[in-house]
Amino acid sequence: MMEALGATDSNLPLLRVRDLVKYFDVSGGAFRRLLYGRRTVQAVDGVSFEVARGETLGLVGESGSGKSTTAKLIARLLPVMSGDVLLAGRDILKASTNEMKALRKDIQFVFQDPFSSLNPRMRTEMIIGRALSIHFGFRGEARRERVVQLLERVGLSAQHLERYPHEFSGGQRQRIAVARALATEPSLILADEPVSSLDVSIQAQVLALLQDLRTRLGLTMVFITHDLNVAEYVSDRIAVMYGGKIMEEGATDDVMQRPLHPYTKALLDTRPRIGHPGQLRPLEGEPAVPLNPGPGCRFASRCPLRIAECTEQAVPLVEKRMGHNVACVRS
Amino acid sequence: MNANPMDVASGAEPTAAPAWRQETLTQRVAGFFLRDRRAMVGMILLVVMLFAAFVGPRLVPYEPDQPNVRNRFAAPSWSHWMGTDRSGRDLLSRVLAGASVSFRVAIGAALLALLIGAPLGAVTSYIGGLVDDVTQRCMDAIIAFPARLLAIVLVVLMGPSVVSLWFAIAFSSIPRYARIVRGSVLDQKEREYVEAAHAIGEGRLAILFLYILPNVLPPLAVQVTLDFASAVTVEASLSFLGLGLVPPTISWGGLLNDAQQWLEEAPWLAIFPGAALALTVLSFVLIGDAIRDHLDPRTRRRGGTR
Amino acid sequence: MALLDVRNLTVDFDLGAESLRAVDDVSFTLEPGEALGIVGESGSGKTVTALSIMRLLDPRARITHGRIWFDGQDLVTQDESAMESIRGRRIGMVFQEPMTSLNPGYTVGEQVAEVYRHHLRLSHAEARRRTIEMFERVKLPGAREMFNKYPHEFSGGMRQRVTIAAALACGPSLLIADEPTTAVDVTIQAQILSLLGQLQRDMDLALLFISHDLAVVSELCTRAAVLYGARLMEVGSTDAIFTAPRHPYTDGLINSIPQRGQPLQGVPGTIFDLRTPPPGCRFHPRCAHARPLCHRDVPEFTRSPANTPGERGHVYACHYPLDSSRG
Repeated sequence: MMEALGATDSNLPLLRVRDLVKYFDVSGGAFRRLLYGRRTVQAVDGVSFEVARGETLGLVGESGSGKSTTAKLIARLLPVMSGDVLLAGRDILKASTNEMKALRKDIQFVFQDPFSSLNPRMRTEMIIGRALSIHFGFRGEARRERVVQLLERVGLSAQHLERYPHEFSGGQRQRIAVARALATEPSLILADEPVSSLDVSIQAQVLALLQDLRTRLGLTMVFITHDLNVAEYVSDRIAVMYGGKIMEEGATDDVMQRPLHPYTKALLDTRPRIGHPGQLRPLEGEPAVPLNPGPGCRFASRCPLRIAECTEQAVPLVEKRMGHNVACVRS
Repeated sequence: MNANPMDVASGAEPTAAPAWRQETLTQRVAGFFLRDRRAMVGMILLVVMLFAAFVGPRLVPYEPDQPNVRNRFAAPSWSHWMGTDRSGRDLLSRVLAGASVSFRVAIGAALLALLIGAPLGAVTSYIGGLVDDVTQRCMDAIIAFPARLLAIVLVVLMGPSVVSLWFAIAFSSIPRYARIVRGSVLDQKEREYVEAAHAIGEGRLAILFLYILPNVLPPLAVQVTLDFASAVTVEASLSFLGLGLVPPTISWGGLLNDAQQWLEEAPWLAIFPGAALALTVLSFVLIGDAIRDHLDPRTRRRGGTR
Repeated sequence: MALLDVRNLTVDFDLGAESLRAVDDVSFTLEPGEALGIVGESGSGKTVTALSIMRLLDPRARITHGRIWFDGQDLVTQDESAMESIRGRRIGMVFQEPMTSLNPGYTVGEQVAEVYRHHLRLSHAEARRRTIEMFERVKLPGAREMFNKYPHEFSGGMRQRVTIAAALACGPSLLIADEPTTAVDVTIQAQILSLLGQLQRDMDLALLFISHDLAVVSELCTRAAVLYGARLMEVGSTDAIFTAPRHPYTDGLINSIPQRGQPLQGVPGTIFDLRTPPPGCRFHPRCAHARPLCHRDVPEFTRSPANTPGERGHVYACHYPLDSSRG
């Protein structure tokens, strides 16, 4: 990289998310809203974190935790209610349509399901090539050459150019999706459960590919997953979400080996591990959908350590140890 | 991961590439008509009818309006293949003239409904919210009305002409197009590949034309074909009732109306226009049904019908 | 005597112009009260194996070879009415997606009570009493109120408890569970696994547990069978299979689980098309240890010598098995 002179620039976190908020109206249409009143799910409620250059942040949580919504808000695939997203100091959420086009180049997304994230009526060359045409104006033979390079980078080859998505296996499709994301030479990749829909052996291939690309290209990544093994493997730092809020955030080893939040502990205790049968300690209750929630901790209803204070007031995320933050009154 | 026995097939999917997918569009369309017997019969019928409607009138020796009082109610013969009517006018010439009117009305009405209904469905589903809600309820109201009754009311209000027939017939099928497009667009908008297109920086127009439209067109094509069929019959029934096109404009409905007074004396006057009408409707329905089955993965069979 | 003895099971699918073999010469046994995990990826034939035992195969599928001995009866030769009295009564089954086995139009209580009335000819009142008892057993909170709720009012985890209650209502000796925790969240998965484990012990139930997740199988089962591409690769105690696998595929699966700080090896390549299986060992195109023999000959099953007396065998189909003394 030639930008070595910008020393302050590289000390700055590449991605900075502040107080991100997104509520969904689930009243079910205008007529129902009039009849039954407004029902909102507070899908993402005051989420803040930073990701340094070259770092991978694992965003872990169950369904309804708001982890995918957070990623889509960062990529501006969903409109934000409030909050800031700064990419290398530039505010994504306030960018105009033109500025956004340039920013899209810097932020790329890999979706969970490679069976639905590729247009069934487009050939591989077009799927990857569109990104090249939009951002670099590549055409014809030049574009084709570049697409082949990208395919080779993800372990495919020129023979796959003319094929349609349905002619590939799940793992190959996800490779194409990764190639599409790499096409714009982004500085940040948001990966939303990119291996969850794949078979175990294929999952390992794609994870290994992502790790390899990350080290070779110096990518910064936000990696969303429900799988603690995967999060532990790919992340430098981990943020655990529950009911739209971050419960705990810190370096991977700190969070996985010295968890501070009862929810993180519970997640670790519910993880079946090979060769350690009989050590499951299930957590009671169901993952809460934050539908018109109260002011307190979102996890309180399932928390074994709950006290009255937990439900009465907001619980902020505070630094308990160096670089290890937790949102819990009992910790 | 192995949710049901069908998964055996999907486990086998990776390297399986149905050969026909790699053909060009023209080859695929041609292949479709060659493989599906219904589609082929329908297409042949339709080509014959279109030829008759637009080229036929130039080939017949008689003007459709030319009376010949000495040759009234002539039975079908070599000189008058379909016989003559009460004024001695050649029925073949009149059926051919009626065909071109029928096609003009049907194609116009179906395209008009498509041109209004499809954008309406696209726009309201894109805007969503109250606009979408209200439009949908209006569409429900139109659908709740019997289509023919609605057409009668409209044609009475607007007076008989080809253009007013277009509107009268199109009006009741607008909701069908709006719904098909709305359903498809809502469905497509939720697809991850559309979201993925946003993510790589595609503009709105590119998303509409490259990602959404290609996936909305097939169900629309089916609807247009089936709508041609229904428009032909609606036009005929309106003209039969004397509400559609009035003489001197010739239409199959009008011919049938004339014929009903002489059913016993000159049954050919009803048989030939009736057959022309039935065959035209049949051709559209055959093609439409075949396309629909072809597009529906549940009924699609590689290598033809089962 | 084994409760379930599947011998040389072979299932073919007739797909019109072509056909494929979804289960190919699969054999295993299950003792009363034992938990056997069937592990495999998509297309391995694990679900088809389970459905063959229940005789609930897709109409295009046919059992072309083999026997399924259950409690002294060959299920392959039973007629439909005989199977009806076995299914639900002597063999229960739980599916991945609970909604597929629940009728949305009836309350969950009625549906489970119906099982009692149909199989055990119980009165309404008695069936209701036993249903509520069963709901308590599967730890549905507020079992009595739950009786009158409809499936859509339940979360995925609660629905899965209802289907477990229905499957176990008549006290079967065998429960087949096909990926029962794949569609639910991790915390719910742990709840269901510990429930299944407890029920298995309390009711002295034999469990055939189908999963793609090695860790889940290791949690719940004492023995495991690994399937790949319709064939059996390896069977043995979970301990032996997961700590000292003899088959390279099993080893690859274990290495596919990400471990922090260790390079992820996984298994290269993708599964073959079941319509055109490779000759010899099915796994050879993806196997790092494959040699010419593997391309040519289908490996016979080898039984590794028992380390302790009374240990049930560790069986694998590989020409060049991995060293058992590793790790």
